[in-house]
Amino acid sequence: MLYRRSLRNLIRMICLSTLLITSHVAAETLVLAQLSDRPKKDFKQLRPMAKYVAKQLGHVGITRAEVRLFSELDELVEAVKNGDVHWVTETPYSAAVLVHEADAVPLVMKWKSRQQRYQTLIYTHKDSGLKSLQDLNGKRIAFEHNNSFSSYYLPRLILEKQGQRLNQIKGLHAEQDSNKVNYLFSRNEKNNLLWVHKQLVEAGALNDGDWQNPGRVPEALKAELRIIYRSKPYPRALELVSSKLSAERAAALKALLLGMTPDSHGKLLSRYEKTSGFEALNDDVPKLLAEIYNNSRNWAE
Amino acid sequence: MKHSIATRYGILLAAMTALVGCCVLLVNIFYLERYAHAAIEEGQHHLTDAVEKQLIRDAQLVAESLANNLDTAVYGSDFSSIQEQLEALSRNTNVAYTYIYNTSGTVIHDGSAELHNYGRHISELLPPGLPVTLEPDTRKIGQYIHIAQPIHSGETTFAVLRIAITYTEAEEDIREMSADLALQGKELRNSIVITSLSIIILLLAAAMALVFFLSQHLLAPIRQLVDHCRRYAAGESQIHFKLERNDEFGLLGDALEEMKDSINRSRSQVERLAYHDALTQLPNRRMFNEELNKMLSWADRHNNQVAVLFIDLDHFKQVNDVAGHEVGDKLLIQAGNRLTNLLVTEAENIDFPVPESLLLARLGGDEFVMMLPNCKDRQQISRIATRIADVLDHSFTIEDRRYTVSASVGITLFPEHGRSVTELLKQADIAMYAAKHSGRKRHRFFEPQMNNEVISKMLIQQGVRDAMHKGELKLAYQPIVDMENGDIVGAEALIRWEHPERGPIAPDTFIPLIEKTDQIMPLTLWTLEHACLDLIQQIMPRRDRFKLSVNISGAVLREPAIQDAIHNIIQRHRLPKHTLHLELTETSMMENIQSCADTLRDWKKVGADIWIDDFGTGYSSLSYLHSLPIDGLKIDRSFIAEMNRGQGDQVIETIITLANSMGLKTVSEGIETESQQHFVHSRGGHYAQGYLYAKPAPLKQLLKLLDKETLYEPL
Repeated sequence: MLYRRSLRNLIRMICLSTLLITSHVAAETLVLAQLSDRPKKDFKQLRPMAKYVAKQLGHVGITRAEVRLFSELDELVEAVKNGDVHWVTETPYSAAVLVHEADAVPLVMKWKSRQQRYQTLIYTHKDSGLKSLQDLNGKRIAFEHNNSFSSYYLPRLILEKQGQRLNQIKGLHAEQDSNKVNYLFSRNEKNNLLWVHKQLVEAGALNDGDWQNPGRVPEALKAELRIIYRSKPYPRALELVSSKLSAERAAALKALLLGMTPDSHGKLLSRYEKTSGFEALNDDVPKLLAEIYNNSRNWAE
Repeated sequence: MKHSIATRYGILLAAMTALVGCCVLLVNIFYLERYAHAAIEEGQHHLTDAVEKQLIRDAQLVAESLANNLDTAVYGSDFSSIQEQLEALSRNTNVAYTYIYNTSGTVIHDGSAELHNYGRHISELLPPGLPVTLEPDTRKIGQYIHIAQPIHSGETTFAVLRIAITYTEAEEDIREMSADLALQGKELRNSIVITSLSIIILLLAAAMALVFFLSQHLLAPIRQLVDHCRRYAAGESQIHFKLERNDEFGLLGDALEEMKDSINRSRSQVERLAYHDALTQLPNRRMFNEELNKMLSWADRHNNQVAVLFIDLDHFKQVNDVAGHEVGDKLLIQAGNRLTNLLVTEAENIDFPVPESLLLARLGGDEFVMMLPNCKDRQQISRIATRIADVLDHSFTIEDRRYTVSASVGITLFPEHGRSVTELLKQADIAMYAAKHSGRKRHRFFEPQMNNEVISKMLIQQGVRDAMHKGELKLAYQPIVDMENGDIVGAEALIRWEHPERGPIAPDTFIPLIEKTDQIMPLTLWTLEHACLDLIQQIMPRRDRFKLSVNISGAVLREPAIQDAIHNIIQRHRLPKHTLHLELTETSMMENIQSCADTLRDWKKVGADIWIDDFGTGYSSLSYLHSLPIDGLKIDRSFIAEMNRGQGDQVIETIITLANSMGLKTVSEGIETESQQHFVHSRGGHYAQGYLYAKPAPLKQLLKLLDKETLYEPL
């Protein structure tokens, strides 16, 4: 850990010096990045916004934009820290890691799919008889994947706060710990839902946005399921910038994003991951990010 | 050449080409259709087979590959991954269903998002007849290929993929491909038809070209011959038909050449016939006219004089009549030769601008004509004319007998007397006529006044025939009375000519002229016929023993046919004996006394009486007179007229005495006074005729007289 910090500082210093040296000539290309397991789809979603922003920020020396997608959070962290990536749009968990490990600076909150905030739902099959988080001891719960804020970080945090201990198992056929809540990743929200519905696992976790989306959770299936827990709302997503991006440019980007409304830039926003607007940060956000980060650091890797 | 051989054969060739072409085309199309039909059917069958096999292989491959890919997802119950893969299959393939079931037959995925059939037993879902198996299985049932494909993990089968792929699309494809095949067959057939048609059209074009070639080259000799024939027909004589070829055209050319030679020979013969007199071989009238015409033009240009000599043989007619036409013809040939020789001789004295053979022609009958160009004066012409008369005056010896004719020559001169051929010939004819009238063996130059004389004579000679038909000729009758009692016992029929323009023409004027022509016989017969009709129809009802006298010209007696002609008339009218008196002059009887006697006897046999007219003016031997069958004598009026002057008395007495001694009756002509009547009666004359009794008058007046019974009181 220590090693990592010192290394990080070293890298930061190198990056800073590089930035100092090159800032007046470089940074002509604004790089927007995201974690992605569906690069094709995400690239299509990010590209128009990046282009638009680059066009608008000509007055601060930005002449073009680029989109980069990362499969691993560590790589993204590294890139942001180096200043190779200037701008990231991510969920709170990733944002928390970026802020704390890559010196990323949160810029604005992003509303997605008309959700300004979202919450995590923990659900079971009605036939299972499981009605509270306590009932999940010795049972299995399916999360989406280990980068998911709403379907891994948050429900795990919730379960732990309830005093449950969690045990990761490697699959549906793996052995389970009867004194812990056994969790496993379903890879996506569809499997998550079907596993619970077909009672391959006892519980699952989904955010309310997915729950409300009939394409993801069909009404017929929903009727046979029971929500046993709803978390409090969390920001849907965050726009962050690398600390290597000049303050001027960061400010210009922030101002530009906050100025976009569905009325003025409806189509552009909608293509940008179905964004419905941006919101200025409040004081809770850094606190939340710090809390998320700190809690996650305590989990055994 | 609308329907030339070439065109006809060309059309035939083209039609045959078209026919054969069409037949081949039809047969082609027939077999092509059959082949295409069979091929398409076979093709469709194979296609169906191949497509089905391919489809099954593809389906198996798809199922196998899908099963291989699905193992992890199925093992990890990664429903969304399974669904994505099954969906991907459904998107690309026409899939009826997709199921994944575990070894106990429980469905773990059905391809839907909600997994409606999750947990059900597969046998509830599969169509009947399909086994619930863990082994690979492929079956085609109806429109579907049903496949079961195990999903392995290592050697262990832990699930089975079951899919059904619809066959419908493949069938649709097969149908489309079959349709394509059929279409291709049709296109092939069409292209073959089009190609065949094109070939036929090309063949037709070739046939046409052949026709063109034929008409242009092969038939060229025919056209050449046709052209030569036309030119030859148009009068071009220097045409040759020989083609110098060895084929049929060459033979045709040779044949035409032979025909041309033959035609040329015939043509020259025809020309010779057309322009030459067949008898004497001298030029004929037509050729002479043409040559004279040319000569006149030439003479006109050279201020030359041309004499035209019209030569007529005198007495030739008698030779012809007496000795026959054959002798006459030979005489004409000899006469022609003599004239030709004369011309040849004269050619030494006169420089003729044309061959002598063109100068002499025979116009017909005994008429020859000669033209003499380059003659200087009348003396020269006159000399030649005299020589002509001389050479023809010598007797002709034919078949050992000698015949004598003479020639009269009429001469006319160009340009002095006339300028045209017609004019000159006419004038020469007139001059000849004048020469003949001035005596035999004479020549005369044309003089303008000859025209009138000759023309009037000619008019008379030519007019009498018309006069007979038009009724211009009439008969007048002068009564003959019996001197004993003054009774009219008969009458003499006398001819009268009332010319519509010239008025009455006296018989003394025209009878001698007619006697010189062949019209005398028709005129004589006309007179006799009409007199007989008057006698029978008008006179005999009044006086049944009336005696009618009709004059028979001496000229007529020379006609052999006259005997029968008169014989027939008398016999046809069935006249009683002694009612018809035929009057002939002594001279005419004496010319050929023997034949005349025979003729007269013949006439007497049918009832006619024969009288000698104008007795005493000619010469007659009494012995001859005795041998002739004569019934009476008519004493010529000249003796009666002289009687008053005291000269005719003795002659009259002698004649009457002679007559009485021979038992003949007498009629005294021209009695005008009573003293004449008294004298003749006192000397024994039987009958009298003359103005004292009656002038010649029309029949009506004679009939009136007869009705009055007597003309005078007898002494």
